[in-house]
Amino acid sequence: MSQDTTAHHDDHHDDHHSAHPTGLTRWLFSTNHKEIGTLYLVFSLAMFLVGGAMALVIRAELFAPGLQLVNPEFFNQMTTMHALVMIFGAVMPAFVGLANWMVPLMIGAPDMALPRMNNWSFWILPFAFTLLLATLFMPSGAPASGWTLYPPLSLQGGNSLAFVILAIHLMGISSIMGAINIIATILNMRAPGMTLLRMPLFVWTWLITAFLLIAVMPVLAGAVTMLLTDRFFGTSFFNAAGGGDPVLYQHIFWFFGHPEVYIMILPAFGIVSEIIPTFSRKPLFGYTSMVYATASIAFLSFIVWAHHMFTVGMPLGAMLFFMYATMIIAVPTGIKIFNWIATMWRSSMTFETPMLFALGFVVLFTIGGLSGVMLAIVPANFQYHDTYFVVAHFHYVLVTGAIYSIMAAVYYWLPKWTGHMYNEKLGKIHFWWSTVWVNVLFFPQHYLGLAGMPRRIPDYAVQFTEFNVISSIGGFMFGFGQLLFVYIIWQCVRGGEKATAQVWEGARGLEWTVPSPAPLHTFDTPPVVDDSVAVHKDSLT
Amino acid sequence: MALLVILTASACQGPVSALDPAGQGAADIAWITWVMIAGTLFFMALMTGLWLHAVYRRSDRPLKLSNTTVLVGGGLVLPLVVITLLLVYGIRSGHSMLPIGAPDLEIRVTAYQWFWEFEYSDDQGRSLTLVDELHLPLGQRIDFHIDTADVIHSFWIPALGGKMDAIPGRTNTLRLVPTRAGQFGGQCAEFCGARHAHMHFAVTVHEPEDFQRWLDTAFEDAP
Repeated sequence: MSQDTTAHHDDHHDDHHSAHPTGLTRWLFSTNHKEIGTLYLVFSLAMFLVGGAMALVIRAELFAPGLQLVNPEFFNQMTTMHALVMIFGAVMPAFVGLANWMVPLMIGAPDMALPRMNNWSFWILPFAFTLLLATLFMPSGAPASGWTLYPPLSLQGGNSLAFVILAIHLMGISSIMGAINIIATILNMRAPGMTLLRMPLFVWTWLITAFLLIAVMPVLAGAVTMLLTDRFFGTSFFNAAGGGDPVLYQHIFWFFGHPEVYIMILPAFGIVSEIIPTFSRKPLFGYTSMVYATASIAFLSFIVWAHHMFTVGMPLGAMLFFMYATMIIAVPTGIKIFNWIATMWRSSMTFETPMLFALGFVVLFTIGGLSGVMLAIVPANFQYHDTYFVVAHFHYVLVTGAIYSIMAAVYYWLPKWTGHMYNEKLGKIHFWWSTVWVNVLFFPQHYLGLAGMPRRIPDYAVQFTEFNVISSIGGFMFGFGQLLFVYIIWQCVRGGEKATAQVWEGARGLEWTVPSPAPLHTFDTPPVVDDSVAVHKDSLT
Repeated sequence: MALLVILTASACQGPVSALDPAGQGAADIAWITWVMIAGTLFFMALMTGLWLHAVYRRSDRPLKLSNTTVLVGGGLVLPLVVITLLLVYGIRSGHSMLPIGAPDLEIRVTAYQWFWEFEYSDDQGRSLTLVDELHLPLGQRIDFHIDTADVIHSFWIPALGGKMDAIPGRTNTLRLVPTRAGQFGGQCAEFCGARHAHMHFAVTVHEPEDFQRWLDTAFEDAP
């Protein structure tokens, strides 16, 4: 970020180490994994704020029963866009940005395997989101059928559907290229001695996530393309009157949608598995079992999709299969949670901000996991499905799961990126503020859902008022608290206490052997890795 | 804490509450809900206990657990036991909600953007269509044959039981057995557009004789 480079005007050797373009072209034409990683992360932060603003519109309308601030059409656009922006704009690019920055540093590679494609996979995203957000200003308004775009409802909308579908295609292309790049990098560019089972767990989880991305993003592309032809070219894939079936869309969509859930949580498992050992000053407990558990979760994620659609009227046998397969996921997830506890067991821990967010992740993600088990139970799901219980469940998984892990990662690696320590005191305030209010925000939604409040409604029965008021207050406090996060990052980029190469006392691994801030080019000469450098020893064997 | 309890109680009561069951399906599910909440609290307490122990117990007489105890016990045995029990429950309870055996009453439900039509008929060829208003007899097996005229909707009376989607080109059947007379609320549970939030209907559960009297009068009055 703060590079001491002298600009060479009119030069034709931009790729030479000492010469580097400045200004806009530095970012536009960059093929450097660190700069592209930074672009991804900044983009993700911007989308996090946009999506967050939409969430505040939703919570403001739900502060009281009745219709007050926005009309139902706009409310529905907000729920739809909030989901699309947060999933495809905030969470996924943040993980790709972290992979860009850290995977080459962790495996001792000089850069990503395909640097020019790397540039392209990022620069597609601003176009995709321009298309998506532009629909807000179109006469027909943004899409308002929910982010799942179920037909026939999604086909009733205006031309904005075409914009959304094109935006989804662009995001998909970007994700697939990013995934190919990560797989190629991990499989081909590891330093000598960095065997697969010496790789840090963050690298392992991303390798598996990348395969999931390549497997399911084309499925989503297929589903939305069929929507496009149904809407504009007179086909009948999902049109019952023409011989199609709207349930087919739901099957295809969730065949993408469930692995997508793990695309957003496996890298989070990897991050937490890096941070907890560092601040426990102990190697990760059960490293190999963590790798196998991750792979099992990835496999299982392909055979559970129909648990999102138990109420469409399935045979009991099919429901029991999907219910049981879903609950089996609790086993590898349980292994992970107990491995993290075992890592902390009898260790000498300290609680810097990254560790706080990682511990917050372990505890709060577990709540999301347990409500997930409740949702998987077939007869119970008939009551919980499409209620606020589901909303509470997936926000525990995505906000206190995925987003908390991203925040933990940012605090953990920010000194390596910027060369400065962030303000520890503000970081701790950010953690405690967020943790208190995120629970005020989402915990009451469990009660709302169990009592019977459906999701995606701008107005509700008066019996639900109290909990909605509490939830909205939590939402606003949590939301505005994130401005502190932006301020802490800004402050850290600008200056602060100099960070050492090691940064954290207990940190192990190749990324801590390069100076802070990491120079633009690292590991031009591959390091030699042996057990003394390897991050994790398998304490099971 | 007291406030929380009061608030919980206030949200559980009410005409559209799934935790204040008035039907067989809803009672079954409310029961498993409380069991699962207890199980969840137990698991969270266990985890928090282990976690706090890991944080605060440094060196003096630390609780000693071997790797295999934690991994096999917590990561493998505990979840397997829990999910096996839940599977047994799922099979038993799932069967009880299927439309097995002849129903006492059948009602055709058609969903529209954004209202409900309920059609009663009898073997004498009389029929009756109500909009957003449903009358049910207490303690009888009622099958709802659910269909839609436009987009996907979902028929749901939280106090009586689970929901069932209304899907174009299909007719889904849902069985409910009311166990308490009174006024209840029903609503659309699958997002269906601008007025989805207001796609309510009123449900009245009558004593069987009252229901028959109401039905006869309604058939006479029907055009």
